[in-house]
Amino acid sequence: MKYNILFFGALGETSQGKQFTWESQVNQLHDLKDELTQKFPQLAGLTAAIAVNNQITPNNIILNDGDEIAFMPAFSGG
Amino acid sequence: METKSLSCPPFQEVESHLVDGPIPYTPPLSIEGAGAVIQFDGIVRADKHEQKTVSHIFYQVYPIMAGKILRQIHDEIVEKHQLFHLELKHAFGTVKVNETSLFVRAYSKHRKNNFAAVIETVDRIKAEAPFWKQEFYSDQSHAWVKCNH
Repeated sequence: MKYNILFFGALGETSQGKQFTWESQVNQLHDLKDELTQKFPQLAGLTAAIAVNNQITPNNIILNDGDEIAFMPAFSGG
Repeated sequence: METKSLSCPPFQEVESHLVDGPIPYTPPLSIEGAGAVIQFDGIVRADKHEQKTVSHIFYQVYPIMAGKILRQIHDEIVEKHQLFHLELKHAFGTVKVNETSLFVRAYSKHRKNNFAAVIETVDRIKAEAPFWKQEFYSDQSHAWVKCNH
């Protein structure tokens, strides 16, 4: 499966954030988060919410090939 | 693994509630029957942190999700508080000190529901809309702002 991964705020480090394609065998969101956390340890402490295809979702959903998955720190707008 | 910038599209659609850079002033509308017009401007402050002064803020946004959330907040607030009209805009990109990053202006028949509507709108935007602030300081350093709403 291929996923479009987005990192925002401090997770993406730069002002422009980070966007990349990630190939994986897993299809559950919490498994994907565990897998990505191995490579990006900052996910463990900074992720306040995860959106799949622009919708905040619980960690136990099933993913589909091509899904856009955004890892988001706490919002700080205004 | 190839990474790329988020700031060039994903802006596939232009959202009326999202403004690139500081939000320009616009005069209030003339709406028949609106006896109360209340405006909130969120302004970037020259805060000081450990001898450093904020020069500007970069607002990162998840544009498609922010557009949906802001539209949903707008529609729910208008219905709940029986507003005639609600202007709601949030900046993304660079906003300098003394410039406007968040703008809310509500039009209603009376004042009480209008005050409540503006407060609830601002609170909901801060809690629900996917924006992240990066403060830039006079010495060229920068830091992500932790949520404090």
